[in-house]
Amino acid sequence: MRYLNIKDREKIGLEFLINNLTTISPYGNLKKKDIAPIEDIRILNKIFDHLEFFIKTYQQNKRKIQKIEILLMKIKNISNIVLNLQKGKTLDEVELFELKINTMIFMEIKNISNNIFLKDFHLVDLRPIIDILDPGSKKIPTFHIYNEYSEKLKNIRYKKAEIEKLIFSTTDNELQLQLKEKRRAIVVLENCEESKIKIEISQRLIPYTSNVLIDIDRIKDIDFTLAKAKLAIKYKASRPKIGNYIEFIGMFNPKILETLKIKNQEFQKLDILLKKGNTILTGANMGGKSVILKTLTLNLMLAQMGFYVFSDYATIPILKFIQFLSDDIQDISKGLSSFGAEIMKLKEITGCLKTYDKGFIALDEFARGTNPSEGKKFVKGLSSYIKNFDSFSIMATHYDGVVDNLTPHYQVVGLKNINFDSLKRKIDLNNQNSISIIQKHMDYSIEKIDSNLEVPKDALNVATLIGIDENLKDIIKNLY
Amino acid sequence: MLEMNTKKMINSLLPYNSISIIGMEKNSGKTTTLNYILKNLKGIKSIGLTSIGRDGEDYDRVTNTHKPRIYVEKGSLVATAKSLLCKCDITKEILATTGITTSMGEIIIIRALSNGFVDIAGPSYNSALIKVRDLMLNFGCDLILIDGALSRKGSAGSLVSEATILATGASFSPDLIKVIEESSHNVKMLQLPKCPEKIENLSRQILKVGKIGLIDTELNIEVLDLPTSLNSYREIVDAVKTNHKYLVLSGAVSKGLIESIIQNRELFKNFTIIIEDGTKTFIDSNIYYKLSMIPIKLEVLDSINLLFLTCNPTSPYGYSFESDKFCNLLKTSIDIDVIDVVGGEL
Repeated sequence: MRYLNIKDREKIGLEFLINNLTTISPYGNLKKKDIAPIEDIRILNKIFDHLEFFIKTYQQNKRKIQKIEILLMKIKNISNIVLNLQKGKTLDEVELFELKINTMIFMEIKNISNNIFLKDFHLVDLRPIIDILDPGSKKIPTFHIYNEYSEKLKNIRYKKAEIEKLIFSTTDNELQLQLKEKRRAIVVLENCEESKIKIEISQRLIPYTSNVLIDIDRIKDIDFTLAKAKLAIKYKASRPKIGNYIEFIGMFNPKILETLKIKNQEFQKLDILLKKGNTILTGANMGGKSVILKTLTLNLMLAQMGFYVFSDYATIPILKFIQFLSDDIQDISKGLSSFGAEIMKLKEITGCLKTYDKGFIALDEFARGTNPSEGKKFVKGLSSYIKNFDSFSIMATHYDGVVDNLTPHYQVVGLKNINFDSLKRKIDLNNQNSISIIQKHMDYSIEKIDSNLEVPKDALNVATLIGIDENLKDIIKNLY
Repeated sequence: MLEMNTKKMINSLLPYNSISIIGMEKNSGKTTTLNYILKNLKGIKSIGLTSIGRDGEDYDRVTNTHKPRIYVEKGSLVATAKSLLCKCDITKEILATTGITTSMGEIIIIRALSNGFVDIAGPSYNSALIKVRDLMLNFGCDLILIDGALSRKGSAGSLVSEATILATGASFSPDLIKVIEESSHNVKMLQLPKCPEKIENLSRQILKVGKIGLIDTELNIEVLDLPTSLNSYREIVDAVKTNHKYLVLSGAVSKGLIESIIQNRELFKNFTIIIEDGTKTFIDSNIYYKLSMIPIKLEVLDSINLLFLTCNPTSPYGYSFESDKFCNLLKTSIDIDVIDVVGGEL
């Protein structure tokens, strides 16, 4: 998978977001399962134009949109009926009913939506279909093989009704049986005539099927774009600019934002700039490096799929692949250790680099599954290898000295500006909540630092805060 | 003795928006009962008709006879599976597709534009049945009749229908006395008394978290961690202590459980068994008698409003009871009205 596999999409929270898109109609729901990244800059820009327009329209025409949404709820998926009809299949009463009802709803939507949406979303007229399926112009949302279709049918039904009256008024069992026999013969005639009419109507409908398919597509787009607009409004997402570098100002992760909200905490928004080549991300344990990588990857995926991004401001390049190597990669099903799995993934990544050249790679603690002295060499090597391509990469690492002077280096502020002793006293008073107290004091923001600066040595400090055996701590301390 | 005539029968149906008709056995005259009601409500109520699942085949293999078919009046609504629409010889107007699917296709709601025979297979589970019922009420019906298919007495539950009619007939057994006994037993089961409100509330608390529970004399509740009562006789018996007074069971009450209770009769003396409603029992009259000897009482959370019993003295197997004798015997053993749907009013 060029743009993340399902597992990685789940890990970065993309599946979660897409599943929570509030599409309403069966068409919109189908579209949700079929969102692909777009590589054509013109198409992508057009999608952003549409979304921008929908967001504006949504806020200006709330009532009209609500009406459209109620109509979308009533829609059923009639694609198969229409396709079968197009192939020449004769529809039965129920299918004709579905076609009639749905085209009626389409036309109701059209009356509202064509006035407020862009031309690309305009529904085409399906009146001729409704006229065929409502020969008496009754405008009632039901269907039967109407007498209007055939004089013969009308006569047969008249006879049927006459006999039924007789059956009802007869008490003589013998006579009643005779009448029922007679009625049965009439029912056969009625069925034959109805079948003939169904064939006839189906034939008459065929020329309009392509128009129904156009409207189905437009409704799919309306429903889907409305859902994207609502998502963007809810989180104040912004339209990314398409450029040749990656920049997010005020980036956040909606899923984590929601979790923090429940705890009455705020997401510390992030600013990050990635130029071509590698960027290093370091920081204290528990500093949220993984979250940063996931949030960044998520936003890049979303942008390329035509969504607004979770950031106050953003510039993104068009990428030909997006890859994510997570810190918990392991494939026990294939009998791979974490290092084995990492190398398999690395093969996929270098493959992408060689084939597509321009992409984005996020690596979380690459080569952590092997011994540090060799692991470091792997990280350093990969960092310079990537420079040969037109790609962007970011590596979160614990290893020292993998960064050369030219590689940009971001660091999570973490506990750098915290007075350890006073924090430790706080935790000692309230031992149960050590983790949440650390989280509260952790500065999750990132800053760009001098590349030569050392990777922070916060492990022992964090361990001390959480609580570690005093003797063990002293032994470790002496080893520093 | 109770007097019942057609007019009285019709009047007894009028207050309700939903009535289920359930049969004791195959060929107990359920369809005959339905037709009898449909004929007599013509012009009085706007009827919607459906069933729970489908009741067998239209051809009876045992008797080699066609079973009677349901005949509806023009204007009635019918909810049935799509593949059976071609077997309905009424002129049909399609009103709605429900999205509820069955093995015979989606349930479709149609209006009869002519009189005629219909073939009905409704949803097979209660929540879908409720949805279909409400859809038909919204289309303007004022009485929904639910054909409760064989051994699916669940449709009589008060969630689904406000009132119930039980159909019995000669086809149940050639032994007249046996038919009378089992009919009156079924009536008894459907008319089991509602438990006191306090116990009802505690029982509902139990059923919210589990399937089986006990209530003691101090009104403390204990929920047993068992998935169902069907195979857990031993565990249930083991959990009972001397101060327990009520056993609360969800789902069906099986013969096996009752038998193991009878074996441990000393433990269950003066117990009351609480079940959801009278459709949930599968206990025959013999076992019920043994229970009442211990004594153990059976009570329900939701009582069923049983309107009357219909009887069909003719069996399609080729024998019949003397109608007067059959009906009179039924009337003496049952304290609700009895109607002979073949011979007319009594």
